[in-house]
Amino acid sequence: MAELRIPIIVENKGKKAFKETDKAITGLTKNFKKLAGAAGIGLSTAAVINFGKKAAAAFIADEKAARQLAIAVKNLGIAFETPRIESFISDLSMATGVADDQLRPAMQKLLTTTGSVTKAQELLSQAIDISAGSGVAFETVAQDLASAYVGQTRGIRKYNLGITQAELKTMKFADIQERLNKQFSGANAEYLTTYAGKLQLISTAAGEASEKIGKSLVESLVSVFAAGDTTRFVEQIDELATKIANVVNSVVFGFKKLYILTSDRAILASFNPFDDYEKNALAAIEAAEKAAKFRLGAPSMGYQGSRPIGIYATPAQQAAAKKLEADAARRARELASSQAKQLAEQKKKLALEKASKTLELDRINLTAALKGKISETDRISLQLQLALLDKNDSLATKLSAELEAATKRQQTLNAALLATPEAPNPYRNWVPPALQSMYDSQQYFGPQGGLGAGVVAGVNPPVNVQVVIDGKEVASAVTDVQVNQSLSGTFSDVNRVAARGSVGIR
Amino acid sequence: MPTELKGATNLRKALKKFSPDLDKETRDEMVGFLKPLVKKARGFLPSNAEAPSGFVKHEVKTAKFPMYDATEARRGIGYKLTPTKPNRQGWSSTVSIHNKTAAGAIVETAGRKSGITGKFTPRFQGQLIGSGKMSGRAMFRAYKEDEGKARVGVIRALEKAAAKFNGKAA
Repeated sequence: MAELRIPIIVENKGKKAFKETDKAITGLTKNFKKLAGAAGIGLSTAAVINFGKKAAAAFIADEKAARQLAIAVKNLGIAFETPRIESFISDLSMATGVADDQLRPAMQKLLTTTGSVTKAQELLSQAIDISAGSGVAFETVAQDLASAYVGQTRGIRKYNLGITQAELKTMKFADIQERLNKQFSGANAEYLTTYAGKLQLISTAAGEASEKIGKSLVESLVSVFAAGDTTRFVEQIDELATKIANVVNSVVFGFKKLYILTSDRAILASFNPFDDYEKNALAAIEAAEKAAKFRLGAPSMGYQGSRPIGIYATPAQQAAAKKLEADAARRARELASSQAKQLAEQKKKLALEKASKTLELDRINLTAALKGKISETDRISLQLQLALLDKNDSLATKLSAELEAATKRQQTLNAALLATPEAPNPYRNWVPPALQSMYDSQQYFGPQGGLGAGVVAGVNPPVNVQVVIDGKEVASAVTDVQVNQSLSGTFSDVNRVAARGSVGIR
Repeated sequence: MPTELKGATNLRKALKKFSPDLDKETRDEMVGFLKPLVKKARGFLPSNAEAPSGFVKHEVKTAKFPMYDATEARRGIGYKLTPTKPNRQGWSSTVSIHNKTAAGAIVETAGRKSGITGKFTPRFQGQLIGSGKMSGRAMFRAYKEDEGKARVGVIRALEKAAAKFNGKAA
């Protein structure tokens, strides 16, 4: 089920033109049938009508595109350039095999972007080559070029020009154009030498005929009628179309004359010598036919004999066109200058980014914490960090260079240290002097700590001390006490080592 | 019924190109009228508990009939301020409200043709408000109950924008 929608504001668009065409075609069908009936001709008109419908629809679409372009040109203030632009598009279409209904919107885009007819024509021609060379759709190429002209280069990436996105962003349009030209120049001409190219060329000229005309038919037509020359064949189709158009014109007006002559009114008038109905009606039809033929064959711009045909620019318009070109050139210069400014800004940004990348803040903090002081590179890194925080790009660039140099120096020093051979022991040949006996000299003796003069800790001979308790040596006094206690039964486990309550004397 | 406003699409295009601020202002004004309508319409959709249980989204192997999920259906109701593709008669909606999901559309329209009969339609609690192709339970009901206030608001917003834009251009 289709989605439910409540339209609040509506508008009717686009249908009217087709409706009118249908009405006109239906009317034509009726008239045609009536005429055929009147003439007693049993024509099958279905094919003719179908062709007429298709041709009318195509004409409406084509006219719409042409009118849009004409409005764009008019709004730029160069309406008098319209025939020249149309002629350029027509020639380009014939030469390159790109249909004019593709060329017109592209031309409009480029024209409104650049503001210059010359530049737009140049870019349009280049777009055809790029499209043929890269395989990207022609409309996309034209849009990409128009965007790139005003500095949006994202679309150019797809053409693989061998440059990075960063480089592309900083490139001027002229450089991009040159690069594209170098890569794709002549691609369309080369493409047209292929079978597909030839077929496209013919199909552009003959419209939808190419779908019906198969490979063998195309080749045979080209070889039979134009000795293999596709361009000549295209010209012949064009001539043929003009001739057919003239014939159709004559036939339609012929039928109209026949219709008038066989009408009741004309038959009645033929009996009245004073009634000039037939004469007047035929004269009106002939005048209309003449006018139609003139419109059909009239050149949009050029010369008929010595008489100029078409809209030519007045001096004022020429001056306006000149001014427009100058304005466009100035705008291009301004764009280039703005791009240069952007480029400088981007360079600064890149420099800052690069500088910020060289910082190793964690390492600096760790090293500073471990050593308690900072090395040269750390010092520069910290200074650089400060410069970055201050947005001082010139100082940051300078410090970044210094940091790089210091890092290099550090690396060189490290490498040199690693490469240094092991140093020999400087005391390898030193023999310690033989010490004299401590008692030999008085210089080894002297007051030290709490010991008396002449006593040196750990060096002097042992000293015997005797402890006396109640006139007995301490050992004898203890033994006596133990023996007495043992004998009195109070201390039975004399000399039992490691037993509870025992006393060990050692 | 919708209102035909000739040149509305071109006006929006012109505003967008030459006066983005005015375009935004107009858009905001229109949104101010449409948002409450959409909110109201969403409120008329049943919750999962209120919808017929077999219709509510559940695990099945071969699902042909759309299944209802209240959140999804509510999200499907919205407004559009850009022109739709013209239909075969050449009509295009410049401003519209829509109920996009299939399940939401079923809730909206069940019973339009056959009436409130059978085993499915009577189980929807909401009333079918409106007549013919302009009847429904959620979006159409909200639009009907709004009594054209949103429509008038949108038209006035566009007219005001056109007057302002023309004044600026002159």
